[in-house]
Amino acid sequence: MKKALRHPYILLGGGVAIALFCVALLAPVLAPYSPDEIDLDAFYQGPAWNHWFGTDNLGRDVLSRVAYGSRVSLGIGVTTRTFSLLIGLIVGCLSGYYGGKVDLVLQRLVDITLAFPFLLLVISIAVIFPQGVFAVFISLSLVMWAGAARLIRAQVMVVREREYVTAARAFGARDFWIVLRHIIPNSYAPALIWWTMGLGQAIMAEAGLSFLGVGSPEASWGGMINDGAQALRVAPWVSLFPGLALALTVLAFNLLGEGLRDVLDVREQ
Amino acid sequence: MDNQVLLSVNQLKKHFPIRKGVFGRVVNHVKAVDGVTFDIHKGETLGLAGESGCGKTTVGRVILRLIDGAEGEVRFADSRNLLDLSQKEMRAYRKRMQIIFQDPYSSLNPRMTVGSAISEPLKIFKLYPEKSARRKRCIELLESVGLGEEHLNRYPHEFSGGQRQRIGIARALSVEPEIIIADEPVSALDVSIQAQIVNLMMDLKNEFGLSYLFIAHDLSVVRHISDRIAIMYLGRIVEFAPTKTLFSIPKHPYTRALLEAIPVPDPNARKERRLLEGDVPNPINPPAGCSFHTRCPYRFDPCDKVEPRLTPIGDNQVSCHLYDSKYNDTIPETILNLAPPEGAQS
Repeated sequence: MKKALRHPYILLGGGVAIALFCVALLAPVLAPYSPDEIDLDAFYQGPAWNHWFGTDNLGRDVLSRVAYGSRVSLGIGVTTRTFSLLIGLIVGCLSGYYGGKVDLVLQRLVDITLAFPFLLLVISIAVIFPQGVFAVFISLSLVMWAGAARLIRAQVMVVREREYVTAARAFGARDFWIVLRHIIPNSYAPALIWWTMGLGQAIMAEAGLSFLGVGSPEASWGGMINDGAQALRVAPWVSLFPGLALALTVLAFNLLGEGLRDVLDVREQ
Repeated sequence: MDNQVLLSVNQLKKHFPIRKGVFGRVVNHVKAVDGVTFDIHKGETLGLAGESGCGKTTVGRVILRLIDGAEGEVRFADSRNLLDLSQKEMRAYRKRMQIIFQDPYSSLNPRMTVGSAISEPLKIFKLYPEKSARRKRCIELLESVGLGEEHLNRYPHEFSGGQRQRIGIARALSVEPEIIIADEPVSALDVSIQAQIVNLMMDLKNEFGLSYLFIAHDLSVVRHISDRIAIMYLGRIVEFAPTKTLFSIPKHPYTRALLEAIPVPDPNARKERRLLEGDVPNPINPPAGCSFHTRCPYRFDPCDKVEPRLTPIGDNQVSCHLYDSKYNDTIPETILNLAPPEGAQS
């Protein structure tokens, strides 16, 4: 833990990530306007003192929308990563621990999921549900779990062969006990890194969905980039600022993941 | 040592299938253990020795049902055949039979403190349900293996190999087993530490009235701790004898070769050594007849055709045609001149 707090990547990435979460939580306080408030005097107004990040085609304040958008984007990122990690953990543990037929069936499921182009599969699941944040969350989770499942399965297969697992079996420990107390504590590190490293991907995918019109109807970074794309020549700031926010988030979580990878490098010996 | 049989193993066989192709067709078997029979009496230490890959580790794991799918019979005290029990029924015996592992580095969970590692079996068997009693028991166990309370909250990586092995022993002792299967418990340790651990195991045996199945490839270690020794070759026992007899009058050519291979700590001693040639044959296709005949300096006519059986010759049990009266007259002169194993043909 101490080592983690001294690692520059974790400090920087974690610091920025915490700041971003604070912005998301405090959006109503920080944002100078409501995200949907229309300023009839200012369509596509460039950055100025009254609108720091400018306004969009309807005269909405881009700064406020970026602040509010962080709620959707970060919220989707964190929930989908967590939920898909949970599915991946269950599938990966079952698959890696039991092997054999269980593994065969579950891995074909993973293969099928991974065989489709990522965004295509996400869109086709998303359209089943009424458009909204939930559709984005569920469709992303139902696709992203496969990567986690494969990663965790490999790790479980390594740990399963360790002699402390055999020792636990010699003591009559049940499978659930072994997985919970021996397998997961010794294979969670790559999963945690997977979680952070992919958070950016989840947010970008949400952006992609919004860009394609199946995303969240509320202000989200992806949706804003999409809105601004139509007027990139006359009002680049509409896309630029949510794009920067997205890039900053992805960078922060990737740094955090890199740092965790360094720190969590399991001390086997 | 009294005469009560604690563990009896009869015609134990474990063949591992070799699968090939998409559908996992079984194309062959590795005959890791191929008909092993022995008894361990209460308070006895039985040494099980042999080269790497001869199946000795598999014997230990099959007895404890850590490897399933073996044939034959394993009885503990007056139990049913352990090989027929479900894993659930087997749990009742897991408290009475324990195991110590070869590699002290991988036998302890790196993320568990020593205290929680030792108390894990207690939790599983719901012994000492109170936390303070469990802690007391852990300290007691640590002290009995030469460690102490101060080690309770440390992690395995803070210990040396020898200390880790002590922790492994304490963990095995926690459930008060009657027999411990020690699977090469010292071969991963420095020579100076080996003696400490072997002596510790002998002390614990007297203190707690344990029996051991001591698996090792180092005959000098086995000699030190065992009452009787079984020598394994390619999944079978080729010679079985009380320790003293085995070392003074080894009968099987393989045993002789193993004993001759032990280095003598005297540079001037010129010992006649006949080292074994060649490698252990592939256990997928063990040689016909006596499985040792491909490397045996004493081989003669029936060896590559007829399989010898373990038969009592004096105090030993040997599986070798040299001692079979049926072939007395057919042993060629040249072989007899090779300084035959003592007792042959007599």
